[in-house]
Amino acid sequence: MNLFRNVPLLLQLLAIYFAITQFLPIASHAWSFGDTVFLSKSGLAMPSFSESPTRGRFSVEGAWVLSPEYLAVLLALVVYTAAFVAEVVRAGVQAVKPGMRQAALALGLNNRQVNRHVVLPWPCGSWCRPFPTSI
Amino acid sequence: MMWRKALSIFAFSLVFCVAFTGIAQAGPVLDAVIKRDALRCGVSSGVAGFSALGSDGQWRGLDVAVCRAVAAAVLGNAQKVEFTPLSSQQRFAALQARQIDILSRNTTWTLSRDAGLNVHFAAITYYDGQGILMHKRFGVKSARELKGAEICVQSGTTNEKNLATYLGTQGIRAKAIVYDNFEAAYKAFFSGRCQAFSTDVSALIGLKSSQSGKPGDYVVLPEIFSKEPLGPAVLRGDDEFCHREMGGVCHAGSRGTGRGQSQYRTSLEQQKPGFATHAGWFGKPWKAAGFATGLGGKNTSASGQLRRSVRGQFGQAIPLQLERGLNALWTQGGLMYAPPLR
Repeated sequence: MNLFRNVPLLLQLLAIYFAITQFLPIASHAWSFGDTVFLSKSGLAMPSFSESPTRGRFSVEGAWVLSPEYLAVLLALVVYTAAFVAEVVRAGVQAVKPGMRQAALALGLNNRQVNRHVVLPWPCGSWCRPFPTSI
Repeated sequence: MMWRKALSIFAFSLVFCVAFTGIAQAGPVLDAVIKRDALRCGVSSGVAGFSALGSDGQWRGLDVAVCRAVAAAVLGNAQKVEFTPLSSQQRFAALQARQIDILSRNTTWTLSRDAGLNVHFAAITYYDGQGILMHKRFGVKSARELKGAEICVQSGTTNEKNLATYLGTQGIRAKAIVYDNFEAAYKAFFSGRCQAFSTDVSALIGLKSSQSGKPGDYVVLPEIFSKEPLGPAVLRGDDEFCHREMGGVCHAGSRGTGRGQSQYRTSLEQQKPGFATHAGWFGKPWKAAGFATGLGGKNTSASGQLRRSVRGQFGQAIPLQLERGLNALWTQGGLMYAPPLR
């Protein structure tokens, strides 16, 4: 996670684009997920409202195609921003005093209940403040 | 008194005219080349068959051969050329700024360039056109079958516009993927990002043989959909350099060898010297035109010297697997047609 936060965004973008164009198969041999979604060097083809993708002579035809350039940008931004958000959430969760957790367990709550009722809502105030600066 | 005045006016105007004809004899470019004793030639940064730097540091190709032949004709020595690699954006600016004497960079002679850029195209050395390159695995025999294909092309060039026009007029629903430089575009094609690549056919063949790794797996589709007459360009203002020196050299190249091929094709395909085998090249008409037989007064056995230095310039071009097409001699159904010597 520190890797994704510290490496510059542009570099991650280029690396993901390189990976997409080098390691994905060419369009006529696209990977298909359940015959409705096709992933290849020419992009991600997904069914739209009216039609679903089919393998044409050269590439996947029909439907909604996200170009590999768009995919690269999307993936790079998602990964980069997710790392920052994850860091903030982790800090918030760890800020809950251990005494609170132990008190809840002593009262008879099981682990899932402890997380849902005690740990997660408590530091919400501390979460809301950093988000506008990192997104 | 009147006739004395008339005589003096007449004498003055005579001197005036003679002085001016003296200036008009040799233009600025030709003078500068002779004074500098080197010809500055603008070429590309590496197009196989036209101007490419070999591993031994020597430039080879058709455009390079034209420059060397002009240097041989003007200076008597084909090695007295300085090559400057230029990008598409820089090429005309360098010529207009007089940083080079000749732009020999597989540049298309278009009307807008001729009219608007203050340049002259001396002659057409290669009749090219735009085509499409594909891998054989798709089994495509004609560009009309390209519905649904993706075609890589360089943006901002006539290639992009010609491709769009062609696809539009033929009703072919293919997608053009544009890249802003040539290298990115062909690398994307060879890595499989798009199924076809479109640019001038000569560049396609050069890429096929040098960049693809397996030239036998690729095919250039038969449709050619633009006119790209390639030729060397010089700055306007020096008619002598353009027409006499350069035009003469270029037309000599388009004359036949005895074997019924033009010099250009011979050099491009067979790596054999084509220039010196034509008898008319070193005959009287050339001497009369002052072709390097005393320009500068250096060469005593001028035609032998010229022959030796020009021989093999065209023969050192890189052999490409070219179709005959338009670049055959006019007697063979092509367009290579030079003005007669006498």
